[in-house]
Formats: sequence, structure tokens, C-alpha cells
Amino acid sequence: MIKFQNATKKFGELTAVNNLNLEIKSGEFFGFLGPNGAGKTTTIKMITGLYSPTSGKIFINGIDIQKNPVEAKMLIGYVPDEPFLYDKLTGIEYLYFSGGLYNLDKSTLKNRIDEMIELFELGNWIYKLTEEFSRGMRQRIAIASALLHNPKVIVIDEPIVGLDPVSANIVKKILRQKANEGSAIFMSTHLLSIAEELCDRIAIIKDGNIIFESDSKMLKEIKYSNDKRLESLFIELMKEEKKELEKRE
Amino acid sequence: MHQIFHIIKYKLLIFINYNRIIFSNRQNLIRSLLASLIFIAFGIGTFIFSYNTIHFVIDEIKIGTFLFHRFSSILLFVLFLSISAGNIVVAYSVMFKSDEVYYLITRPIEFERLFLLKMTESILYSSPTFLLFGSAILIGYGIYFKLSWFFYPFTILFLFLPFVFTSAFLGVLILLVIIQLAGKIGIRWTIFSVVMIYLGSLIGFFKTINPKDLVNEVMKYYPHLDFNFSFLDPDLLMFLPNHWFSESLFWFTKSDFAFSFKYALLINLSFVFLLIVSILIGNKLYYRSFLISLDLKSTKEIRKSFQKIFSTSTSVFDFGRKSIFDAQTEVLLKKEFHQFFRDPSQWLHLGVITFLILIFIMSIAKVDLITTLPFLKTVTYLSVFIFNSFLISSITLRFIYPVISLEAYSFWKIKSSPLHPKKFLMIKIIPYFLFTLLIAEVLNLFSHQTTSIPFTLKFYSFINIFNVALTLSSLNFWFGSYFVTFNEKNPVKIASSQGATIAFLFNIIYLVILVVLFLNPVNKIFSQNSGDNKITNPELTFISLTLLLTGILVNYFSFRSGIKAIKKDY
Repeated sequence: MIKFQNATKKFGELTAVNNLNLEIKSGEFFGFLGPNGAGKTTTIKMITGLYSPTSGKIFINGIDIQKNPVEAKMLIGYVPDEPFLYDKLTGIEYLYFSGGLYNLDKSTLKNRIDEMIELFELGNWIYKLTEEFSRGMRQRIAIASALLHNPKVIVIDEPIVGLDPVSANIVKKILRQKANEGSAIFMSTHLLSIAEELCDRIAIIKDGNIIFESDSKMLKEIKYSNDKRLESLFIELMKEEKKELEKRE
Repeated sequence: MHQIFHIIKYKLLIFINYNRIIFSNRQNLIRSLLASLIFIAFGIGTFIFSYNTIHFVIDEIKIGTFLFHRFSSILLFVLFLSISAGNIVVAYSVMFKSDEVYYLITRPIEFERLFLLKMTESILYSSPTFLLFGSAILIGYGIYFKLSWFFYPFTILFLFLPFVFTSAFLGVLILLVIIQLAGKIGIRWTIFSVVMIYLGSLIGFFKTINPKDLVNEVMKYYPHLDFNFSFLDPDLLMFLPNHWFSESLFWFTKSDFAFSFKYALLINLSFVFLLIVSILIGNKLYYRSFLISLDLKSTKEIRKSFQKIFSTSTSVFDFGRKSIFDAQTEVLLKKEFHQFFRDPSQWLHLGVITFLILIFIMSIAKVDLITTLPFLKTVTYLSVFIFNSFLISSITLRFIYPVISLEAYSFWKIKSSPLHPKKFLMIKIIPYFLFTLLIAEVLNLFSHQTTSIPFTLKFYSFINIFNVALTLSSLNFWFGSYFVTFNEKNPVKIASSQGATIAFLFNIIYLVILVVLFLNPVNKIFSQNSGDNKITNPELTFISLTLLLTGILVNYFSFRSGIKAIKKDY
């Protein structure tokens, strides 16, 4: 579903993402982990067309996002780390706006919005301007807007940050359900517990390079070991990287 | 004061760091240097324009120095009202709406200090540009009248700056009153009352001074037009800062410095008086006004009215309602509409501009070209045409320049959606262009309806105002997308940024080109016998086609620049 082929992103001298090669299949819940500034958001922005790769390619269901951005984006539902909404639109207007961008016809869109209102327990908030929303409410609207067109690929950056436990639970359930229904989910997070709980496969990125990749078997072992192995593994990897860097210097 | 200096220190640090980033990148550095060069060039251009205009009005049209200064006084009055009205909007966004205020108000800072800081910031916001152009005009004036070196520091420091600041302080005071009143009688009635007061001031001023009568009275003394005819002045004038300004200039040219200084003193005293009053009232009312503004925000009286009108299920602007457009076009148009009319800094400014246009139309509609001198007719006709174009320039700069930047932090939704950039741009620009075109043609219709304008000119005005609207919309869109910034969502700040100022300077060049192109052929038409009633004129047809071609070219490049801006890494 999502395929990175030597994808690299440079900002001047800085290489934010270096020669990334990954493939995420449909129905797979992929966790993209890493410390702050590792290149997670840059990678996500390349998938969604917000950044263009300096070199390399990214395919969505076989479509090159650079060559055919409109077709590729039709398949993606994206939720950024900071869910900025158009603050002069009400929640429901924002959902209509988002659905319209994906050319959904009015009656389908209306039904989908009703489903989302119920699913995300948006209640009467939906009729208020989004500028009045809490972060959690904005996050819920952003996720709901990303799911309106039933995307085959869901790209989500730090989905749980800022959400209260009830909202977090709703979001986790929905994302897992979408993966079970066959969507490929690319989730960036630095919350290891979330990755452990939800993902089928993970990769850890640091300074733009993938330093660890697990297959589903390995992750299952980690998940069911019950001794916070992912957290230990993550810290260990960070330490090793630091030592390696010091050696090189 | 320690806190104020502490904040200023860090504001300076932000400024230095910002410039360090700019100067560390060669492309940005070249861009900044070019911008500075353009500023200098325009300063020089303004000086030349000022010198030549004074020379033309006094030596060619021969209106005399008294009438020249009375006309300057009228322009200064309009400038005074415009600055105070403009500063109401700027001060509202700087003092009540900015993120910085929300941050600082939660820190242990005295509200009085915060008020002083933000009021100064709002006043200094567009002062450098004002100072550049004001100085250039005054230098042109000083050189024409061959005045001593002392004239320049005197007028810039003791006339121009206090005049601008007096008007700006008045704007801040009016804003505080507006907010207090809005808390009591509601925002709609308050805005209505303020608009009526401004409108009343303008109508009252023009009724009192009556320029036409003044010209007729002064012309009785022809050719002794340089005398002091102040006995013709109505009493009201003696109390107005614009009159003090022009009187001070008038007496300086007569080398009567005592009189000149007396009027300068009046301006400076009014400046100090308003500064003290602003501080005293601000100290009492700023925090209260801040709380009221929050309350107004939460009650959102006007927004609710707009919502009632535009968002009911029967309204075409309701998102749930079917439309004749495809889904993408429909939601983008509706989004644009709601964003515009729910943002007070947008519709308030639109209201102010509409009000100015109405005033202009009302005052110009009955003006007839009574003179028999063809050149004077040409000058009057072109002045009106250029003023129309200037209004179009202001509207497009204020509303079209920021359109892409206003997507701000929420642009991720559109950028990540399956929407073709060309389609997005078309939907974004066309409504604004149509709106500009409508205003342009209405202005043209009302300002050129007088019977003494030959039909040929009416015909070409109709065509060329379209060319002007096309070119200026495209030009300002071009600059807006070239200097696009997604970090600022305040339209007032975007439309008064460095990029916008450069765009404005190019607008002025375009207006000067229009004057140069039209002066000769228009004069020829006014000089022809009235029996010659051909509709078309080969020279004007050629100019109109050239302007149309220019408009299309600018439009093409603005579109390319727009595509580049939205394809940029976000």
C-alpha cells in the first residue's frame, strides 16, 4: 500500500530523512517511532504531499505521489500532529468541507458525517466554531474528517497526544478497526505503549535513518513479554547510537 | 519600566535572530537587498512626483499658493481620518487579538505597561513607510519652494510625525470607546454609530469648507492668488490639525516663522494632550476592554447574525445544501465566504473601504467639469480615473494580497487533499477578482457620469477600469504568493508586511504609467470640437489593448507564482 523507494529529504545541509526503504501492506498497522527531531513528521509529510522528497520515490497503492498526486491523495486520510482546523468554520461545516474535497456526493457525505458524529461522540460541539474547541475535540474532528472518504491508507502523526483517556480510547479503537477492515495505517508516535498496544510492525528512526525494524513476530514477542521490553529496547538503541556517534567523532 | 525594557529587549532579539536567518541565506539576502533598493527608488520617485505635482499645480494650472495649501489641507484631513480609522483596525488586532497579548496578559505585568507597549506597537506598525513617503513629499515641497535646510527636520519631526501620531492616538481612543460601548449597547449599534460619526465628519467638513465656493471667491482676486485669504476660511477650520499643518507650511513659504511655529506648536500640543489622555484612559480601560473583547468574542453577536443569514438550511452558503458546482468548488467557495464574513478584521475593513467608496461616489457624482480649459478638464478627468484606480489598488492589496497566506496553519487539509493546485487557485482568486471588478465598474460609472465628459472617454474608461482591475488584482496576488507566509493568520498584518509594501510601490508605478499613457490622448479629446462624436479613438484603442495585454501577462505570471507558492514544502 505504501512503498518508500530510497526516499530522501534534505533541508540545505541537513538530511532529515536518509534513503528510506519501507513497505507497509494493506491491513497492516505500522508504528513509526523515534525521538524528537528524528524525521518522523518529515517522512509523514512526504507521504501526504506536504513535502516533496529531494530524491527517491513514494508510492501509494502503486501510484507515485510525485507524478500523480491527486490520484494518490484520493486514497489517503491524513491527521497531522497539530490538528489546526479552519477556526471560522463550525465542526459540522469543517466535516462537510473535508468530504467535499474528496468529491463525496452530498447524501453519502451526510450519512458519513452522521456516523462520525456518533462514532467520535461529537454531540452538540459539532455546531460550534472550531476556534472554541479544546485540543482533544480538534483532534477528534481532524480524525473524523480524515476517515470520511474511507481511505485505504491512513497516515496519522501522534494520534493520542493531548487527548483525554476517553477520547484516546475511542481513537485507538477506531484505528485498530480500520486496520482490521483492510486499511494500511502509518502511525508516527513517541509513545511506546501505544505502539506496543496497536501496531503489527514497527520501525525506529533516528537522525533520518532507520535504526531498527521489527517484523510482526518479533513485535508479538515484545508485546506479550510484559516487561516493558519495547521501552528498554528503545532506550538501548538510543544509547548505542550515541556511542556510535561519539566513536565516529 | 523595567518590564517594558525587558520585553523590548527580547523583541529586538527576535528581530535580530530573524534577520540573521535572512542574511544567512543568499537568496533571502538578495531579496532583502532588492526590497531595500526598491524602497529607496520609490522614495526618490515620490520626491520627483511631489516636486512635479506642485510645479504643475502652481505654475501650469496657476491656482496660487493659498488655494494650493487649502487643497493640501483637504488631503491632510482625509489622511487624518484614514489613519485614525485604519489604526482602529490595526490596534484592535495588535492590542486585543494577538497571541502575544494572550501570553503577556497571563504574566505578572501591569496592564498599564502592557497597554503602553501595545499601543506604541500598533502606532509604529506602518510608521516607517509613512515616514519614508511623508519625508519624500515634504522634500519635494521644500525644494520647489527653495526653503532652507531647517525646513526638513522641522516639518518631519514637529509637523508630520506629531500629526500622524495624533491621528493614530485618536484611533486607539476611539477603539477603547467602541469596545466599552459595544459591551453596553452591542457591537452592531456601536459600529453603526462610529460609521455615522466618521461619515458626518466628512460630510460636515466638505459642506463647511465647500472647495468650489472657495475657488470662486479666491478667483475674484485673480491674478493675486498668493495672498493670504484666510478671512474666507470658516471658523471650524481653526480647530483642525490638518489646517494647522497646511497653515504652518503656508507661513513657512512666506518666511513668517512666528506663524508657522504657532501652528506647529498647536499640533504638538494636541499630540501631547492625546498621548496623555490615551495613557490615562488606557490605564483605566485597557484591561476592562480586554475582558469585554473576550466576552464579545464568546457572544459573537455579529457572527450569529451572519450565521442566521448565511448558514440556515435555506441559504446557498449552507454546507449541507446542494449546489450547482462540483463538490470541491462548492466547499472551497463556501469556506472562503464564511472565513471572510466571520472574521471581524476582514468585514470591518471591508466596511471602512465601502464607506470611503460611498463618500467618494457621493462627493464626485455631482462634480462637473465646469472649466473651459481643456488641460484642466484632462487633469480633473485623470485625477478621478487615477483615484478610482488607487482605490482598486488599496482593495486588492488589502484583500487579494493575503489570500494564500491566510490559509495559514490549516492549509495542510487542502495540501494533502486530492485537489489540483490550478483548480484551487482559480476558485480562490475568481470571487475576489469579480468583486474587485464590480467595485471598479461601479466607481467608474458614478464618477464619470457627468455630461461634460465625452462619450468616447466614458467608453474607454469602462474598458480600462477592467484592465486596471485585472492587472492590479493579478499584481497583488502575484506578490502575495511570492511573499507567502503560512505563519501569520492576521490579514491586517499580512497586508502591511514588507512584501505588501513592495507590492504597493509597484501599484504606484502602474498608476504613474497610466497617467503618462493617458495624458496626451485624453487632452486631445478634450481639445477637439464637441461636434466630433466618434466613439472610438485609434490611440486610446492601442493603449487599451496594451493595458489588456499587460493585465493578461501579469495574470499569467501571478498564476504561475501562485502554483509555485502552494507547491512549496509546507
